[in-house]
Amino acid sequence: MGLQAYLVLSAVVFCLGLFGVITRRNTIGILLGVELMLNAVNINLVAFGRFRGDLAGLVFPVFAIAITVAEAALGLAIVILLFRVRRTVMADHLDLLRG
Amino acid sequence: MFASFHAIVPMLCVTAAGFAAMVAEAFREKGEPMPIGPLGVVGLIGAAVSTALLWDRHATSFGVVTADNFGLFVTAILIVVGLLSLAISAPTVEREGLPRGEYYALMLFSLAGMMLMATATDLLVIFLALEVLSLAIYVLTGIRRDSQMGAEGAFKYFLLGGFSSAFFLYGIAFVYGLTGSTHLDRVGTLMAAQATSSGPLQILAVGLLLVGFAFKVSAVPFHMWTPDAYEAAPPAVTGFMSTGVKAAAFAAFVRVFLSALEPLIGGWSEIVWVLAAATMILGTVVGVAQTSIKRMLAYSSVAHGGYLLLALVSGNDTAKGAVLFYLLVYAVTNLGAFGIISVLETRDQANDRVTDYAGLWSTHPTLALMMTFFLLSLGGFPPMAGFIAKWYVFAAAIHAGYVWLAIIGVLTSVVSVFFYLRVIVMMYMSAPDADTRTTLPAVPQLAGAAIVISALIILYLGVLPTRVLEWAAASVSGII
Amino acid sequence: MLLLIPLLPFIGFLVNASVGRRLSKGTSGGVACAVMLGSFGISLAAVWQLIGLSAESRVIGQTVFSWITSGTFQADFTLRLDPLSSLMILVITGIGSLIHIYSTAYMHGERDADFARYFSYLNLFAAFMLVLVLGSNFLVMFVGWEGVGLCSYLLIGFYYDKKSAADAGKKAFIVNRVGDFGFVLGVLLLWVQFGTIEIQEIARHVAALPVETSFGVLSLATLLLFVGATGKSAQIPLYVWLPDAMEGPTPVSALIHAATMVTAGVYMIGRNAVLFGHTPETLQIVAVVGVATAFFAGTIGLVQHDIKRVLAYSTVSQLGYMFLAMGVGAWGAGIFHLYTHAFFKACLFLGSGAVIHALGGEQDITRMGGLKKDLPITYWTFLIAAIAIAGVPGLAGFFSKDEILFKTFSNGHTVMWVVGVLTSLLTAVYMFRLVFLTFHGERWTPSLAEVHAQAAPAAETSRGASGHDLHAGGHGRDQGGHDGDGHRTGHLHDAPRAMALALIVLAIGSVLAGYIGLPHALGGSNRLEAYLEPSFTAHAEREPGAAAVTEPAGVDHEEPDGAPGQGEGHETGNTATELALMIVSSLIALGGIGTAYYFFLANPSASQRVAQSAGGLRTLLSNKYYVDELYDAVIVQPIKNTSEEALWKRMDAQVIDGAVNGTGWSIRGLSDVLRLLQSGSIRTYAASLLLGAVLVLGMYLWS
Repeated sequence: MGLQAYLVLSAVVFCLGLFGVITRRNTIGILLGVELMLNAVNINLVAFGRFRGDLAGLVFPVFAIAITVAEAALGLAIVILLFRVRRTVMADHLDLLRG
Repeated sequence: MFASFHAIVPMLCVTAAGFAAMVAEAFREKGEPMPIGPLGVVGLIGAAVSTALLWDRHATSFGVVTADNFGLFVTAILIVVGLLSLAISAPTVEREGLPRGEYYALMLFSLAGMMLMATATDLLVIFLALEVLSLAIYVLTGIRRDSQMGAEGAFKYFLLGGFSSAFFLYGIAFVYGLTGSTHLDRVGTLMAAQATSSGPLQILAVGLLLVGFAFKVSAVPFHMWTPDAYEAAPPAVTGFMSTGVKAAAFAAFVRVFLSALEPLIGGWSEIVWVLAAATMILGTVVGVAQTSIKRMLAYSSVAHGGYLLLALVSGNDTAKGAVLFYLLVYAVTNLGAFGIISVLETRDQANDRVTDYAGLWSTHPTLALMMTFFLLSLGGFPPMAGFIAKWYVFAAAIHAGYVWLAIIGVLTSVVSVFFYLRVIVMMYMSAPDADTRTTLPAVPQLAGAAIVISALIILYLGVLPTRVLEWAAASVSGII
Repeated sequence: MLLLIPLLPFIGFLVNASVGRRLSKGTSGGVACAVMLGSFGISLAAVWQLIGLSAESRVIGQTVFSWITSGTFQADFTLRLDPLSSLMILVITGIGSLIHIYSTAYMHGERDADFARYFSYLNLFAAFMLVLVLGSNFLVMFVGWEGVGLCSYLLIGFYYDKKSAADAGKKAFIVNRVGDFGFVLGVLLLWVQFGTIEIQEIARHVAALPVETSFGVLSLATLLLFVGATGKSAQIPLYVWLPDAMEGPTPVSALIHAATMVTAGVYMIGRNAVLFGHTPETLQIVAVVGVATAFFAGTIGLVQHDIKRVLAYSTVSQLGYMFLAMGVGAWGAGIFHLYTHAFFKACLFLGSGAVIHALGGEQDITRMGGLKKDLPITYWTFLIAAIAIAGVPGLAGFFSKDEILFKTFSNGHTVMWVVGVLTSLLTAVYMFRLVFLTFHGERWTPSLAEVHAQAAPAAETSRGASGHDLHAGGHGRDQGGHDGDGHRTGHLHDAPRAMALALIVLAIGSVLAGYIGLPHALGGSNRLEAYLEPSFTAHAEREPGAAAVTEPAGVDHEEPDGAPGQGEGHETGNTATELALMIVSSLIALGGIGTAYYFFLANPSASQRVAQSAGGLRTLLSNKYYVDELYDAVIVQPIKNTSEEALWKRMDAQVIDGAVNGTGWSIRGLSDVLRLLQSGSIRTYAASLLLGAVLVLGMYLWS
């Protein structure tokens, strides 16, 4: 399989994530969408590294994954906080701040 | 090999202070007052000293962080932001009973991230720095754990931040795929070589990077998080993030787009033109209808991002210097204004409606005067520093031939004075409304001093800007 | 030394702004007056020194500090005293001092804190105005330009608890911002063009260039600057804020909205005479706008009922004359009129203030009348100033207005001259209508019905009249027994000493101020214009190399109509023309006064005698209507129809007011709509982000 295929796969996963963020009403679902997008990018990075035969390209995703994990952990913490003070995890209920 | 560490000494100092704050918190008895804020001050002073020592040295660490004068100038701005933020945070931490160790540690870590972002010369390190500063800021936004708004604002900011990070990282991936490197100077030269044939990959790469930066500098239509997050956070945090994040993000923005991707300016300048125009107009127009001062300043901050974009699109050396000067002026002014909002807040009352400021002149004359300075400076009234900053930005745009953009800029800043002046009029010319009147608290000394110092700085920069302008202009030569 | 001139009022501002609330009225007013008088004294000394220099080298400069130096851009905080600015500072500090003194009495009814606030604004205004005229470059000028705008805004809204005052402040603010917009762009354009913002250097550069015969960069720059001038100096189409600005305290109207700030636009054009002289296209526009404003505002002045509004429209009209002068290249004449106008208009405003003060806040001239006996000082000074503005020979207004009309005529603008002369007829009519209705005839007494109606806003007369009840209340606080009705029927108090002093000095000025510019035709030598002349040419100071290019004083040769240099304008052949024109305009002035006498004084009183048998109430009613009917039916009908119905109500109230308010409202409305986008829903936000990303990529791909 050529580079093209990986790029297409990554693009498809990225768009799936995007779709999830826009359409999900549940905050956890939205969070998962974002994770999907970030991981799509990782596929992209790995693919580029692999096809360039460049070791650095394989190190980058490790960085990216670490950051993504930190972000996911924080995201869950914020959702829990949200649930504690608002008793809801539905995104559409979050409209105290507007205008 | 230790020479290699030089460039990151400022952020090491700040990080160390952050760790110290965390450790101190761990050993703190419940309810024991411990001077954790001053730890941060020590770290920032260390950073300031090392920044001064690094000046003109052009030190590089590990090939990915370069302490050139441009980066150091922004670092200096960030140090000022940090010191002022620590000072205006003290009363908030006290009043809200916030976990002080966490609060200060987060603030310092985020500052370290900002400094890294300003001096990084590798896209991946820029991304790392961006995440470091953002993660800390997300938490700070929701630091009032019992506040419904705080949680909501933090969530919105976090989620959209993560969303835009994905775009940004995707852009980096394409840059890497295209050039085999993420280092800015290699990227620059390789992209320049391919500049003539802008294939779809290049467009994706540059476009997605642009989206990532546009989000961080809250350019329209990527600004939606800004008013909500700014309103939700405690005002001291808002002051910190509205200035620090903007400074760091613009530093990296300038570094990436005006130095590495400059050869492609023909491709992206038009887009930034549109973003700048939309940002100035929307920020100003929506600001007009706001009733909360915090939200008004949030939209004003969006509009100020537009003026900075205006300088970015102009792209000449004047413009780069103008960006630095503008960032400094904006940082000090905005922190001062949020400092005032922060000291007027009480535990159960935000006191941030415009009408809450009615008659401030008679209850807190000094605060009213300081607020007048800040608002006039934001509105670009001479002889406040904001005027000079705007003048430079507009002049740079006209020089570069962007006359229409400059006209939009002048027009929106003309309109923007409307809402700044409304607050001034409230403070001086209205009697406090007897029914809804909440007693405003007394001003804590430290925060008061920080506010007065901010005002003095903007007066100084308005009246005698030459020296700082020269520094700013000198710092932009040889950015990479 | 120059620095002290604006610095002293600034110190006064600091004192009154910081500790003023704790000072007694005497102290805070005293401080404010003392700094102004000090500044006036220093100005006199500085001007004396300046006059001592030879005519070519009459410049005193002082660089206070180096303000901005960065790369190619340099702007120092430099003050520059030359003949033009010397005249301005004398007007500002001199008349300013008088108005400060007057204010100590006028504002005496305010609370201590408001009293101090008033004087702090007033001092700050003076400081900024002095910076404006002394600034040697556009940036320093702009500091003053914005500063005076801010102070004017604060002072218009001084009685902030009154809605109309707050609205008027807002309106002034919006309109002035439009002007500032033009001004800033003009300055930026000049900077890009010449690489400097020093007015003198720009003049030098421009002098070396040929006159711009078609519309080019210089024309655009001057046009933008002129937009700034129309905003500040209340010209068509941006004049609308000035009549509303009368909501401010009357001394403020006298100082800011008549004598000084509103003339800043005229001053700015005079300051840049060389530049404007090179752009005949713009000058043409300036002249047309000026003369149109003069006429238009004059007609509106005829039908106003509010004493201050008549004066406000009169100010707009007189400013139109000044712009006419600028537009035909008669710089000296324009500035001359600016200077004489400052005296008589300040005097008129202060006089009207004394009337309002005495009547406890009444501003409707149809409810006055017969005040001559009770307010002799006010009456006589007001009368002198009115004669001066009407253009009766021998008083200040005659010389300066005549100079403008003569220059207009001799430069070949016959149509504008005709309009100008017609306007001077209008001037005489509306001024004397004011004098007669206010001071002559019988005292107006309220009918029983109207006494009751007093409680309701008496809005039928004019937009401004109603709100002043509050103002009256302000005075009432200190002057216990002097309630409204007592004022109307009982004995009135003439201006207190401090007010009388200012009135008398200004009245003397209104008589004598013209004689320093006595034209050649009357055996004078027009000393003022000769003195001002160097300010309107490009100087080659400190640059001897450039002298050869610039010395043939710019304006003279590119104005083929022979504008400002009086050498050619006053040849013997022209003297006869000038004398003839003078006689024409004198006759017109006297004719105007006569007309006013006939319609507003002679006939009404006659009709009143007839109607007396019908009882007091009807007498008054019919008297009032009789005046209006006469007014309507005989000569004023056509003018009234066009001015009140078409011009004032349609044009002024609907179109232009509508445009101003409309701009404000449409921005506000747009703001409200755009706010809805910020719906609070995070998915909307994410969608907007995505949309942005698609747009960015799409634009990139497309370009």
